[in-house]
Amino acid sequence: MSFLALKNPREASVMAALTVGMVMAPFFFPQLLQQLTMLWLMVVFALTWDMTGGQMGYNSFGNVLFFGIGAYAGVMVQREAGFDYHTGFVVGVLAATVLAGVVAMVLGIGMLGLRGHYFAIGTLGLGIAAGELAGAWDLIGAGSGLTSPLYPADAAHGRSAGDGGQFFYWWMAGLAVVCFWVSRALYRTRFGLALNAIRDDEDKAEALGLPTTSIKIFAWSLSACLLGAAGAIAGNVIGFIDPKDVAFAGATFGVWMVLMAILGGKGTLWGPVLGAVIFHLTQELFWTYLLGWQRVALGLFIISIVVFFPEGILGSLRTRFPALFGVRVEERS
Amino acid sequence: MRSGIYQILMSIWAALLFMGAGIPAAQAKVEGETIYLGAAVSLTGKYSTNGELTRRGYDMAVEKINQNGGVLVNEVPYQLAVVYYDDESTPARGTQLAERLILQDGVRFMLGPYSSGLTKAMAPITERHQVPMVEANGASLSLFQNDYRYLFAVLSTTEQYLTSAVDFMDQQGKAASDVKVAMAFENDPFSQDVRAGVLEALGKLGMQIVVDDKLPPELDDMSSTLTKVKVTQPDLLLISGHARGAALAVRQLDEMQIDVPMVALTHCDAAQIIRKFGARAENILCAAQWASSLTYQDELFGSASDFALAYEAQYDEPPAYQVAESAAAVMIYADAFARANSFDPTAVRDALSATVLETFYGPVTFDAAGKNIAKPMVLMQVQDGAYRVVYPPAAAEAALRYEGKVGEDAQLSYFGVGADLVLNGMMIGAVFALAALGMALVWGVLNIINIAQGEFVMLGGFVALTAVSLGVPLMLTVPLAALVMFCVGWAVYRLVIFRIIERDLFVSLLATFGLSILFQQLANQVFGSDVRTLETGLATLNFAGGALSISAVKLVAFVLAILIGVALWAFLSRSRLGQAIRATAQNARAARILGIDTDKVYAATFGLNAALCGAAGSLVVMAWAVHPYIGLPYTVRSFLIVVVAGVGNVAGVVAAGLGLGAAENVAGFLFGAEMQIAFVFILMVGVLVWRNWRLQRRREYLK
Repeated sequence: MSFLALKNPREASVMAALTVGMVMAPFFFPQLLQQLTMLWLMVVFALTWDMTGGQMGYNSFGNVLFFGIGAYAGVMVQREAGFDYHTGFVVGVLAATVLAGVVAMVLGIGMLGLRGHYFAIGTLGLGIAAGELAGAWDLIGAGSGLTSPLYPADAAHGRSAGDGGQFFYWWMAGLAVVCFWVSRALYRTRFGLALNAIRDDEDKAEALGLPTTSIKIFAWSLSACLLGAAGAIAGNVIGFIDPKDVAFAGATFGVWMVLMAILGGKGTLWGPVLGAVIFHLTQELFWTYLLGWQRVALGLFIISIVVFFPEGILGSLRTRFPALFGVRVEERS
Repeated sequence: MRSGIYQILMSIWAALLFMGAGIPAAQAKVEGETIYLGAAVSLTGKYSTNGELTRRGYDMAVEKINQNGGVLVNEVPYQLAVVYYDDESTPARGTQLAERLILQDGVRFMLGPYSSGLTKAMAPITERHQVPMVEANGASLSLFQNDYRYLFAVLSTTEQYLTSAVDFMDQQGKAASDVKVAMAFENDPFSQDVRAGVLEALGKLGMQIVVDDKLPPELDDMSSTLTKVKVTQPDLLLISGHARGAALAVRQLDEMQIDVPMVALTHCDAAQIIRKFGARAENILCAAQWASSLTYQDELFGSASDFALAYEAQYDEPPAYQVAESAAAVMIYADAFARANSFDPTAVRDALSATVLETFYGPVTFDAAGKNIAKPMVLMQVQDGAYRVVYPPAAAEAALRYEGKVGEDAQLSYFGVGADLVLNGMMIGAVFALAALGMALVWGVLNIINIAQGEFVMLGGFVALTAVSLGVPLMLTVPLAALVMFCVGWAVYRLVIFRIIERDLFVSLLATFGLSILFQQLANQVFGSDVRTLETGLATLNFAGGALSISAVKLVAFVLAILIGVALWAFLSRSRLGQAIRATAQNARAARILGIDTDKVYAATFGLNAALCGAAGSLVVMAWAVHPYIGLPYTVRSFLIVVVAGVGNVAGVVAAGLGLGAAENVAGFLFGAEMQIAFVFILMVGVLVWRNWRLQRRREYLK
């Protein structure tokens, strides 16, 4: 598995630092636990979006669809299948993963034929329609939403519910790690090159004999699987699944995915991670200090990102300081 | 991967740690002599009007209690204070804020948010941390079926909201099995639980349900549901959809000339139906938690009417019941602290559950599930331009006015109903067409898809409203809105759009999305999230003996929209600037070579687009309603229309717009209102995939 190897010492040290941070944070800052869990969710959002958006050039505005499917599938399994809490949770996550992947595969046949902004708007429509349909479906609670089961209490204290904060943190952090390694491995194989070929010129890629349709469907399904799992976990973190504001929240989660990837630099491995962290921090700061005006600030922030950093932070850095990225620049004498 | 990124990541990590350290953990439940209560209320988003009322209620009670010497615990007088956050009306945010209040701000006593949905989201968190939450605005019965031990509600739960109207109907002498009931409930936790309560009551009495629609929360036009009501001619109509639903229902019932003997709504006082609609609201029944005419009283505020006076003195409007119940929640806490004589959350919880308190808002006693079982729900009727309590009998100020059905059920033909649906749909379709024309222009000329299109429509509506409130005659509002929006569009071009014009389409999608959030929130901050309408005083026109009724204002809007479309076509094909615009659309470089200042053309086009939307918005506010969050459906509809009709096709865009409006209305009628918006989006995806499919056979794709 040579593509998994960490050969670059700098990258190794970044990862070591991140891993230490990830493991230590919940112990040092227990009061920030849920924000940290949401931070890893944002990282998953950005990384999975970038698989098709950045690497393959298919800018989806509707990936939140798979997140929502995952949230509903996971919590439905937990509520209805009759397992004990922990088994139910694990089965729920697995069911969410599979269901989201299958849906992506089926939808992909029609949707991935669309290109450019038609794909973007078409997926946006899918996301919104899914929210409306979920809101009309009585079996999954319709507009009343679904409440996830309470985390079980440790019987000793006579509490009515336990604090599952740690439990959800480790699952979400674990998922972020899986996402990162899957992306990293993927982009180092021929498959990653094929994705980039589709992005750069789909017709030529096809002419060269690449099975573009299957590649596109596979990539979309893979990101859908990961998003489905994220949905099942996040459904428990949030505790209440509203069809339009939590599960299929196109105007928040759906757009943030895209923004975070663009902010960091789409089409890179570290860009989405960086973008997610910066975006989440900025947002938390806006929410804390700009009560009532935070979304005005967010709107301005979004406009400035796309107007001034269309290539993202990493992209702009790469253009300005190519040497840092291993690109050797010959000085003209 | 290299040191640059390494440094960035490390500094971010450091910032995160710093932020964590910077927030004082457990800043405390009780600090010095102040008790901190935590609350996440909706200051922005769809509930912001009611969120603000909630906050005012909390603040009034806190202020009053502090003035009266605070809360005495262990013989020390403590002051109260509330830590607020804005949950943006979304449950995802609500849970995070609940957690934050408890873990970071160290709050040990929570006040509820506004709405059942947000309470549903926050209750598991407070339960998980064993922190009591006294809430005043989450009435959903399902909240109290989860064995939560730390949740207490001062209000009556949803199953009581409209059942008293059903009882009234039952007392009117008509055999229950002959009574036809039509219901339309918003598709949210609150209204759906109200529906469950009503269903149970109807089932017991054996009344017939003839219409049972779920209204989507973002619905701006109820005409497909109301057409069903018109067809089925029920004896009783029940509608629940927060303030927006109430306002739309009153307006459109009158406009479509639907005469139902008994109409009962929720949230009428929050929607201010008397002030907005005057005589048209007469005889409507309104479910309320509280009314200022009730005889309850306490030592803090005095009587219910004293509370109303105190509120009016401060805010210059009569208090909606949301204010009263929120104030009561704070009083319950003060009482529980004093009795618990401790700040231990468990002790306070136990004191809360033992509450027996008389307040100006009504008596409060919690059952084992935590809901208040001592206070009955109130039913008011609009009589002679004022709310009069008609239920419960003990508190009734006036007798119910009920006239029963006048005359026989009119015979309606399928043709009449179909025509009604199609025509009403085409009226709103004309407005879609206007916005779509603008989008087609910008798309064709600047190669930008403007996501903020719907927000321009919304702003146009608010410009018209502001103009009328400043005394501009109604006739001039449409051109004025267009003019103002032209300037806004021009400014937006100069500030943002020109920077992204050469970039790929995706960048423009995101940048204009940013603009759309910006405009939404600015409108919310400036105008509030209320549903606003403009009364034109135009009558409703009847055709074919009442089978077909069209409000004159919709007809005017329709004609104006078509005229503007024709004028645009003439402008593009005849005038010099129009020719320059078309030339630029065909080939910008060639146009520049021929001496056309394309930058000016771009600015003019974008301004023109905004002007079209502005005109559309001013028509929307006259014939339907606007609020800060109506934008997105208009944007997506515009896009759908342009995709179907093609970018350079004025007549096609108009035809597709009219068709879409009609199709939507018919779909809402056939599949239920909850499918109306889903239908539009599925249709859009279907059209895209289908058109692409056909091209793919020729190895091409949509460009």
